[in-house]
Amino acid sequence: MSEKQPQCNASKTTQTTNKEADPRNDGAQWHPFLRERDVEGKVLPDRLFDIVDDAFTAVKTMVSRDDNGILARRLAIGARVLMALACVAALIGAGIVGWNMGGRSVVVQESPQYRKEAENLKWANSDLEESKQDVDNRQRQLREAGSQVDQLKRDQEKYGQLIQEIKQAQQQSETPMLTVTAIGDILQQSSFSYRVPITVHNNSQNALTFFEVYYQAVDAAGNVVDAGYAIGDSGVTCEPGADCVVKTYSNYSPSGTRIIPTFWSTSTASSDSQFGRYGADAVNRQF
Amino acid sequence: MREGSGFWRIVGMIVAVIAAVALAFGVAFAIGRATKDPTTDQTYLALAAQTKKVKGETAENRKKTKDLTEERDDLRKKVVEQQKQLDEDKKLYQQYAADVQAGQPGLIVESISPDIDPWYTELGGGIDLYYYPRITIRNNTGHVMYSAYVDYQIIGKDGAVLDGDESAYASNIVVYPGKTVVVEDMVKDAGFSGATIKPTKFEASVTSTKYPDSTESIDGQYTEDVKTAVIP
Repeated sequence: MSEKQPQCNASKTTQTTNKEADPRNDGAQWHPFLRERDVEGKVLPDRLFDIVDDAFTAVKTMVSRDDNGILARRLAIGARVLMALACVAALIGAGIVGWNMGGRSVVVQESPQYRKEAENLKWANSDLEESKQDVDNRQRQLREAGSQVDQLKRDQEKYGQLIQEIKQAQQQSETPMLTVTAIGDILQQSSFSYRVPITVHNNSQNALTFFEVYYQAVDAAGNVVDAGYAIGDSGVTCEPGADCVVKTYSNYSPSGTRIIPTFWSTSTASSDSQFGRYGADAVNRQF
Repeated sequence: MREGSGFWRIVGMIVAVIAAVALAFGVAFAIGRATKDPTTDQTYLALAAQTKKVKGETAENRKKTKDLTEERDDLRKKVVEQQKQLDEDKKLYQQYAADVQAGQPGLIVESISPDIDPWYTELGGGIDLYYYPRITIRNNTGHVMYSAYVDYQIIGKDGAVLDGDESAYASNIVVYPGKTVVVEDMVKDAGFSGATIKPTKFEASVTSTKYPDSTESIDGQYTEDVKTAVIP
């Protein structure tokens, strides 16, 4: 449009002011202008001016030669075409604008889709709250269980060392060479002499020239009221795998107590001596 | 007239064009409104994104809860196990152990019995008289004890030490903490009738605190307020 305007002006000025100038005479300037321009090498604004000037001149020439009105008719047809195009453009523009505005006129927040999604978000938030509470709950439960474990550990530490000792004391120190298989009845030799026969099994591969079982007599409260040892008869050898008898000897009656074997001791003819402690599971007897 | 009809023609055309444009606008507006998909709108998309984000967080929390639940269950299992262990330990402790009595020696003298050799009593004399002092001591070492020694003196009525180097003992025993044990000795009479048996020091062999498989020795002195016994 901006280019068209000066052309229109130019055509007017041509009609009013340049009527006397002969277009034919300008032909001398018309043809060589390209060559002149190339040779002169003008700066850009000057060239533009030249081009516009040339265009004016061309239009002037065309209008001045339009004796039959052909150009005017063509211009009128062109104007109609342009008008029709403008109308179509206006319709399309109105359509696009209308379509957009129609779309925008819909309040998204009130659409069922949006409402449904908003509802979804509501539930999702509710679920999120619940899940947060679940996490908090678990963490609290973990803390509780953790402090329980800590408390139990402290309690256990209180007993720990001693419990370990007790457990240790109740384990046999090693597999006994002499296993107690039976504890017999009390043999009262005199008013102050009590003997209890204990049957032992020789687990070793050797004949034992000496074999002995230490024992203690324990009352109901677990107190040791008497302690001593039981040995075989003098000169008796206990053969490998054989059952042999050892006897306790005490001035005090084991009646009412429990006889518990505590340690064992053996020796062979070659003076190979062994010694060990029985476990709490050794055969014992309550009298 | 010609000018007037031209004018009205132009007016009519303009009106027609405006009407057409207005109609196009109206129809397009209606179509645009009808075909509007709210799910493509920024407002909706922002909302949907928020929902997705919240759901994602929820899923994360649920996973976390699941992990924590497993962790909690493991810990609770551990609590049950430890409680069971502790109960067993407590039972064992109550059965076999006792707390150490503060301010008391490792072996507390409970009683002393200056027994006479039953043979001597049986025969009514005629042989050398031996005493069999039996000292009942309580294991206050706080450990399982495997042997015990109590050194004692025999002090005459005038306060003179008649025998200053005697020792009663019990060995190859297993005495749990807090339980008593009797240590014995045999001593030949040297005018001890009426004299006092007075424990002076003790020594006990207990489970080593450093090496559980071996034993270590605990000893100590008795003070003046220790229990004594007079020989009949």
